[in-house]
Amino acid sequence: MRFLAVFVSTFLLLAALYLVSYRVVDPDSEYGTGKFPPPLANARQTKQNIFKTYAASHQIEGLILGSSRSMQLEPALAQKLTGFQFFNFSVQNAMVEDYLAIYRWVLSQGANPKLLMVGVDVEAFDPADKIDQRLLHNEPLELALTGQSSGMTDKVERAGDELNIENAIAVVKGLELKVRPAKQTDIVEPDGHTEYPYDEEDIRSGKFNLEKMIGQTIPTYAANYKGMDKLSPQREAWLTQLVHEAAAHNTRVILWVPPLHPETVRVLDQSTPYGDRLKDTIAFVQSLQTQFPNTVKAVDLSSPDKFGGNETDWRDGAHMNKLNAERALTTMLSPETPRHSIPNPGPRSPHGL
Amino acid sequence: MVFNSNIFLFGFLPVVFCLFWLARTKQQRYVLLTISGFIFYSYWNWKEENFQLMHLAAWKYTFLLFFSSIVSFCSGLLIQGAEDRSKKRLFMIVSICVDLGVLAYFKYFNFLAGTLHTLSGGAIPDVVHQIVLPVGISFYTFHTMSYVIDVASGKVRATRNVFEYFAYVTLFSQLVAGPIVRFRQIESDLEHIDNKPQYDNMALGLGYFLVGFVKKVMIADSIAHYVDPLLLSYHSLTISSAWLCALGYTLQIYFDFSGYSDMAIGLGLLLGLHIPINFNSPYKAQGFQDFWRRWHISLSSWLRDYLYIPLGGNRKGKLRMNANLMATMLLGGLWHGVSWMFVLWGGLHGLLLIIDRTIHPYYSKAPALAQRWLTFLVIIVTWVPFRAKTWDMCVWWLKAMAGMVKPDVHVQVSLNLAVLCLIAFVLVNALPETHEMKLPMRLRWAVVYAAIFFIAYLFMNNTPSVFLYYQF
Repeated sequence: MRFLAVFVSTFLLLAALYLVSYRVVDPDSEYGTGKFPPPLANARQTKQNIFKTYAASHQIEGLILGSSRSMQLEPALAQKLTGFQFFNFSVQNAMVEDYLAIYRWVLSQGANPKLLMVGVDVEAFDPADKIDQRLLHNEPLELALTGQSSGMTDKVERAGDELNIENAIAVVKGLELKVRPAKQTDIVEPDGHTEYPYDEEDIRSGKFNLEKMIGQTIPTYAANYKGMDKLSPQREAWLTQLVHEAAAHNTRVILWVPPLHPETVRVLDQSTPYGDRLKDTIAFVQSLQTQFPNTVKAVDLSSPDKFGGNETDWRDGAHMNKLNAERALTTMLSPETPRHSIPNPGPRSPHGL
Repeated sequence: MVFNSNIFLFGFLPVVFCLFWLARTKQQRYVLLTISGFIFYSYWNWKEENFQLMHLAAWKYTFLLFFSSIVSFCSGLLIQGAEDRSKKRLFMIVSICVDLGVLAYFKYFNFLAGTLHTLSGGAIPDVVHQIVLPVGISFYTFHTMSYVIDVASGKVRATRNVFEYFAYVTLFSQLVAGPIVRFRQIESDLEHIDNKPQYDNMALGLGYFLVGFVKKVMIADSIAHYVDPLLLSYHSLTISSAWLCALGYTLQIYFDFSGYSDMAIGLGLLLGLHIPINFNSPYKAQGFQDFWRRWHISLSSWLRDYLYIPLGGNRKGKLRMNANLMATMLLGGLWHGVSWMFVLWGGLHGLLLIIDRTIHPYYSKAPALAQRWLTFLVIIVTWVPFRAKTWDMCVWWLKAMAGMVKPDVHVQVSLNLAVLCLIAFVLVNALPETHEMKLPMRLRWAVVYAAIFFIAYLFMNNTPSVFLYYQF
């Protein structure tokens, strides 16, 4: 029996030690300890801080929401096209609830954007009708979405979630970065736009191997869409709620469906229900346009040919590079798009380019 | 409920373990094992079924387990009480028919209906029933059938204690994915279940459980993490990625299932029950007869004793022996699941066994390592139809392995997969099977065990998964 007792006690001791070190190193920037450089990008947290700084000196009139696939949309270009001062609040692996939570959080900061550009990814409607853990691990966004903070049970569950190997590796990386700082692969600018200097440098010097990058992307996206037999009704309701709340604030909403690289789509169509769910997503955003004609403009940019893009200006099989992102943004906001859905820029912002 | 879940590790197991050793009498322990078995089993339904069907499904499948157990328990008593052989035989056949009927309906009805529909060119209507395959049905049906047959053949005395019998069938450690334990194999342990705890056995049980846990969550799941997405887009497999996927799956299924079996043995030891081994370094086999003596031993010996030998075994000439072998392996394949892919897999192994028997005198003269690796190479190929979901996937995958297809898009294979496969390959070749290891049981090793368990737990929490054999 002593063997079992020593076993159990040691396990509990190790778990406690791990949880303390996780909080101290804070690799996901969740606890704000700030003692170690975070090895993981957690835009849900970091963009709140960037937003506060930016909003202190700029009046935010436009907001870009979405996942990493919207991160390359440039607020400066959007401002040039609309006259509105934009902030890009796209976050990694965004689900529909993130769009709503971030919008509410932005409102709670005193901003009242006149235009939302929401990159509606198909996988953001994942049919598992549960609030995504990454959002639940962010207290301000959780509060914005659910109206309440985590209870004791949630906190215990969260501590349990932290006990996994990816986090453990992140803790080790955090310690390593403290000793040996590394170059940043992505840089978030003050307006929330993300730059990928090394990718761009490789593209310019001809070292960039897009085919390899696409090959790396496909397994991940195939896993994302595997068994996605429908769109989540709960997530559809959250997007409808976002539009409803935006309408109540006289805010126009552009719901655009971002593209995947055609090679990725070709493979996904052979092995997953991506094609069907894409149709569902487009139909759903179009139904919101019908339901809220004065608020919503639905834009289907799910393949590069729909915005004059090409198959080469990509970072990988799912993310456009700067050039395709510019084309997509220009198409979304171009004068050819229906008049009623283009927001009236009004007087030019004093902070405009 | 699965062994690699928080509810099992931190809720179910500690509670059952403590209550079991607090209970003093045999009857208390039988009752506890019975109740815990049903809770363990029904928890799966409660979690997996959708909300509306939850109560119905939980009751339905738990009832099915209860029904199957009570029928075989009563049959055992009737067979034992019967005076002449014909009556014994009648009771045995009725009981087997009930078991096979339940299995046939829940596992094979839609498959058979669909096949008949296709074969008849649509003349026979395709009647599809909304049937959810009850987890573990193939395993507990084989438990109950072996009990009834053993009672009828006088190999075992039927128990009169219904809770002893239920404790045997519903023993949570082997309920849903084996090993397929025969009553006579743990009869003695069940008879002496009121023994005092043996601490050496507990430490050994913990060691077994730990080895199995590491095999499952650190090796099998890590390989699956890379192989599954690649196979989702199987049209993009190149010759190297196709081979790597096949090798990865070969190693994954071994570490997954042998890990489960080790955990089951370990759990048994924690409760003072000796569950027989299910694996004996199968990838060190030199030939296919040897392979089947080492892989899923409880199933292969079950098929040998209750199917192959009653069919005539090798007693009725070479031709009949080969036919018996093929029939046994085809049915063994079909036992795994309702797909022609499993039948094909079984047929392939049947063929390989026949070839092995024929050429064994010559083949056995080759160096041992050559025999082993050639066997391993062919086994890698045979796992392809087993893993393939469809005929198209199977053919495409095999063609890719032969370099006969050129994919439009080359899916990038992670270097991690190659490294993992290499490590796993070295492990299966260099390390002994768990029962051959001398698991240290001194107190200081409890600290090492806990550290290893903690690291494995971090892996478990990363990707929740079920065991591959739960689907059978």
